[in-house]
Amino acid sequence: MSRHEGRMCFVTVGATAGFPQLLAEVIKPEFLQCLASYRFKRLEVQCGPDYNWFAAQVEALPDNYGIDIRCFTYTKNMSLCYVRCRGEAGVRLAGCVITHAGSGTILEVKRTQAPLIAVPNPTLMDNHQDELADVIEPQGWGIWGKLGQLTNALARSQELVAQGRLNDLPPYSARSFPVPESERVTLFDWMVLTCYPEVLRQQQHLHDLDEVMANYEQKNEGRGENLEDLTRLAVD
Amino acid sequence: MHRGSAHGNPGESPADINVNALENFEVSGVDDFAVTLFFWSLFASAAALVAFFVLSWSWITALLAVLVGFVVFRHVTLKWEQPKIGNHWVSRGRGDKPQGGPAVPDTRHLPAVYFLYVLGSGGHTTEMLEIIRQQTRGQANQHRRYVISSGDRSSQDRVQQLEAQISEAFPDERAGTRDAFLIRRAREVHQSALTAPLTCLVSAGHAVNALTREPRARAATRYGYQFKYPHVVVTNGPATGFILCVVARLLKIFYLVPQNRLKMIYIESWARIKTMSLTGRLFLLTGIADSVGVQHQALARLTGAEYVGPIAAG
Repeated sequence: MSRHEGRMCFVTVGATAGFPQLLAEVIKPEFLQCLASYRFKRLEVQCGPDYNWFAAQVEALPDNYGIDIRCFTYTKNMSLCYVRCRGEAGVRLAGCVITHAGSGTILEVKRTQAPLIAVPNPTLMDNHQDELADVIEPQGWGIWGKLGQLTNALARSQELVAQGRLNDLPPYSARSFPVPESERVTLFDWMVLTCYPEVLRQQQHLHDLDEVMANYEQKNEGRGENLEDLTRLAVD
Repeated sequence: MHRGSAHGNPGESPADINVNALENFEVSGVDDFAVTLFFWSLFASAAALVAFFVLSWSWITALLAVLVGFVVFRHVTLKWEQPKIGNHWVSRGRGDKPQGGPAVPDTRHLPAVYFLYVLGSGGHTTEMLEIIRQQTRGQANQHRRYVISSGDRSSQDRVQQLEAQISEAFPDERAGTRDAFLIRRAREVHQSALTAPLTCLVSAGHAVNALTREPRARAATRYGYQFKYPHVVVTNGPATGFILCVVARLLKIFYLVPQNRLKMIYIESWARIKTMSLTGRLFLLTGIADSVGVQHQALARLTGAEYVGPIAAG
């Protein structure tokens, strides 16, 4: 099997605020060494407002352990970066996305099935991140990392990759739009109907009818009975 | 990115409107409604000021009591009148049925379907865009308005990406019409608590505009008047969204907008698993939203809010 690209590690601090502690952490020699030992080839960093500072830090690195380090301020198409960290059979090995534990990023990474390490920013008072911390690992969405323990988190993340066979995923396809009618969220449509009470009543009736019909069919499955009494109901 | 023409002209077919029109939609213009309201409220405050000096304390207390009583009474009546949300409302649609009956709920035959979405920033926007994606279907009678904080470039870009996706899926008029409304942020990230009430007032003024300005794309069309006020306001957490909903509720309380418009839905963030956010608690406490939805069952049990499923998680 040919692997065209090595593993990629993508670090993001999000669009709103900077997170220099995380940036400093990912270019520490021990972390780079750890990356190299897992055969990572590239490290891409979205650094937000700290771009200049970070670029200078990268310049000053004595050794990059064979890892190609790139950084940029922000990109409109973040999901493209996540996809490049996603393992794909015959194309690339699963890398890793390290985020600032923003819920938006976690959601988006989860959709692409790229391995995820979420590192909360301790200087921001956002207590709801503790809630995410409690569920993220049991649900298998990723690893909850801490500043100062990134190498550890990377090792666990790669364990998860092996367990979940994330190296051999089928090709990524952007989710289709529109969503199939059978999976659409209908809450908002019902809410619109409350503005038109007549129509709401009518549709509610149709829905109830559907329900009855579905139940009826379930009960009489395979008996081939006609639906005479139900059609009578519909006429009413 | 090139800039398109400012707006779709009245009468232009919805499909022709450039997505980039979102970029140029400013709050500078005001409509008659907001202007009238502004002068009436000026007049009311002047009258209140005069009354404060002229009337005795007992009169002032009595008048205030009547005003508060009226607001509370109207608020409770509105709450009482709002329809019961059925369990099937929040389940996923049952869609294309083989028997050929119409899939419910069917809003395609209504004269107008007008959603107003309040975008926050960062994670809020991500979730809101996913919710919009999960619920939008092709129908020509829909209008979407996005309320975006001014200066939030990232949200504006992402709205345009979503809109491009929608027009790609529905190249004909089924894409409906859309516009964006930039409003002043209620509170900057590092703003002091002293000036916050002032900026909140400014964004409340902008909110009146966002809620009552008729979409230009629909102005001269059939049923255009049906698009004057949004049917459903959807918000998921930013302070701007709460202010907008308070304004909407007040407009309704004082009979300034039709009663069968401005239904409000609040969807709690997917990241909230065990506790409500501050905005969520405010919505639950005040009861100004017609529906408060949460995305985790455990949270629904704890707070009594509606469980809507992980709709923002896709």
